[in-house]
Amino acid sequence: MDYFEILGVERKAGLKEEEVRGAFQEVGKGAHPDSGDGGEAFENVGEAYGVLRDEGRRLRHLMELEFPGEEFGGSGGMVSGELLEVFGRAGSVLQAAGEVLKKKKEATTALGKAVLEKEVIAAQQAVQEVGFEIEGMLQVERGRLAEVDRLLREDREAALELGREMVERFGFLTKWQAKVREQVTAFLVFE
Amino acid sequence: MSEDVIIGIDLGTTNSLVGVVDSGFPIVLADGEGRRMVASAVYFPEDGDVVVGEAALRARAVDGERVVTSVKRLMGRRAGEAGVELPGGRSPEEVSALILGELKRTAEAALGVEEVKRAVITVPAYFNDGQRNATVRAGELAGLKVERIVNVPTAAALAYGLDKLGEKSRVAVYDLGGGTFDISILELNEGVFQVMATHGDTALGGDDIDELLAGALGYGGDARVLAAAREAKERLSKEEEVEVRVPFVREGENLEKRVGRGELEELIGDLLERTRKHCVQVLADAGMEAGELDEVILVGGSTRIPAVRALVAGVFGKEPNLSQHPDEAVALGAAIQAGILSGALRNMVLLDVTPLSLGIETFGGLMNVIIPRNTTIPAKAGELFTNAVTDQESMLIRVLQGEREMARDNWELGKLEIPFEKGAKGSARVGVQFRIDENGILEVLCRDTATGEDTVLEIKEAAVDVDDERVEAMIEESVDHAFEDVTERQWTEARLKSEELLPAVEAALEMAGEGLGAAECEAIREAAREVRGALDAAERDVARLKKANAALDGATQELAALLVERALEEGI
Repeated sequence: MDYFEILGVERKAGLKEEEVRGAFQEVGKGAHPDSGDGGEAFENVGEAYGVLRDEGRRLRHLMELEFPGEEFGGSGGMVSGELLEVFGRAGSVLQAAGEVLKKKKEATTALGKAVLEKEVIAAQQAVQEVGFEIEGMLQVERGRLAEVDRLLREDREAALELGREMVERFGFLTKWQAKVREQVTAFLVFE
Repeated sequence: MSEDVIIGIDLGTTNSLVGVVDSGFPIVLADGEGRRMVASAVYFPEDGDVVVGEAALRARAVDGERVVTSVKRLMGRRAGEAGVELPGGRSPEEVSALILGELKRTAEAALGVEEVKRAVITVPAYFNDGQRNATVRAGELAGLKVERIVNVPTAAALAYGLDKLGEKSRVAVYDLGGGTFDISILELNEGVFQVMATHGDTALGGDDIDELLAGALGYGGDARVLAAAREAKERLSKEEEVEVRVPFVREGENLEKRVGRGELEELIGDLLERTRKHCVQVLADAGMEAGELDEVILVGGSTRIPAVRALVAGVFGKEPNLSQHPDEAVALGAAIQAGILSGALRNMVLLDVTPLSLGIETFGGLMNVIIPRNTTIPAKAGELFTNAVTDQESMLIRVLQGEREMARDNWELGKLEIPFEKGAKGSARVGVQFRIDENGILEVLCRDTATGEDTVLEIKEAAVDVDDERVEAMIEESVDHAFEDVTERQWTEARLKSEELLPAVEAALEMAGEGLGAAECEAIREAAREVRGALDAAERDVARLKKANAALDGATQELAALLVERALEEGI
């Protein structure tokens, strides 16, 4: 299935989120069982939206369409040392955050909780910092999406290489970003 | 109005309404006496006909055992299950059907048609599959074909957006009703109502507030005090202080107390805090900041409470939008959806989401998500199953709904038996399609890879005997506890508290002791010594230890506040 075709958007990596959502709303309006014009099944439109709204999944889908038979986002790709270093840090920061929140949850007295407060705030800040770092790295990748589109027109071999690498990086970065976001929310909804 | 009209029903925990689209506009229908709202209460007299509505509510004072209120809170549970003891052994959906029947008759009379056969019914967005199915069955029992189950906050958004179809905006709908709470974020664009994310709690509402207030008045659970508490709560939205009076509440006792708005607000602080958490969650799920919202719309009777409005203003950083009638907006929205389905309204479509992730149990008792929460519905996802041993005839999988990592912590929708062709291990493959339809209800299709034919797989409800086992285990547990030495347990509880407090006192004095006066420090040390003394005494004295703990808790209040303040300062 070509999700770009289903949503009627240009086949490229560098789409904007609003563009994708707007297309989903327009196509979805016609495809929904309530309007029933018998076009594309709504489930497929929803699936296309789910993939195209996420830069990493969109890029992967684009690469799979452009290079049939090639595999993307498997474990074969190399993860750069820089990424490994950030993820290692994120892992320990998240673990520490989980532990301190658990301790605070278990404390039953005001003083018991208060004693932990300093640690809680430090953990919260550490999570936020690593979150900013990951977001910054994602920004860099987003900035390179247009580069993939250019290479697809001018140098397909280079496009394949860059695309493959970026699919890997997006995969890891979005996964860690989701974990960080979950923890940030956990701090906000705590107690 | 023709016979094939579709009505829109707001089936509420405390009140229910029915509406319809008339000449392009949604309206709420009134009964013969001009009432637009029917109390969701059913009275089953010893002999005579069943009574629905306000009259049933009144019967509560004289024949409370036979009056059912807030039955919506039991939806999805079976008759006879623990906690579901309804008159005549009826099921929650049978009772709901009686309320729906009343609304059906109201609509028939108001519209002047012989029979209304089709309806759209609203449910809390956070209702799970079982609760939605139960609502559909209730409709069928009332003689209504349920054309659509629509989520309450989405219905409210339809009512809000009906006259703004050309605009593009983002809104949150905060719905705090009699028994349930939902928060949804939508994008409205050229007649499309797209839900971005939804969150909620199906057991949080005005009923809980009434119970808290009745409890604080000293008569929790008493039907008459509950009614008085509800009235007082409602009046406190307009007045600063009210008098609660229940004569002869018990033999020789009258209840006469003044309650201030501040007292009520303090009572419901925790409850409101729970709604705040859901608001934070829904924003995170929608990937949005509060500032990106154009409006925050309030619906549900409990949003009349000033403290609720203040909370919403605080969380979202803007004054809530009060343009919608708290009691009627949802029924109007249901009527609008009915109008969309019947063709009376055009150029509008609702793209709703599934509130809970759908998954199956996988190795190690983990939940494997197949359709994540907040996916637009209808949605489908396929999963391939393979036989694990030669000539395996079928495989049993558990279908789950929820957000927890462990399968057992989620709601089990039922079991699914996947048939295999006989053959060598790994040779039989069956593709299973999980589909959540536009009502938010799950359907499972099994594709025969040879013929390409789909068959619907029946989801077997979690067997009743399993529940019985669980209930029995719970009963056994509670019996065990009953025989346990009560003082032993109280001592352990108090001891644990002391063991938490004593090291915390040391640490806290170290961290911030210099910020307190010498006298205060000494008072804390003295209180700590008394706790230690009680703990080490040869004779266990529960009362002494508890008292010492409480004293130390009190003596360290200021110290605790100082610590939190400092931690915040250092954090900036």
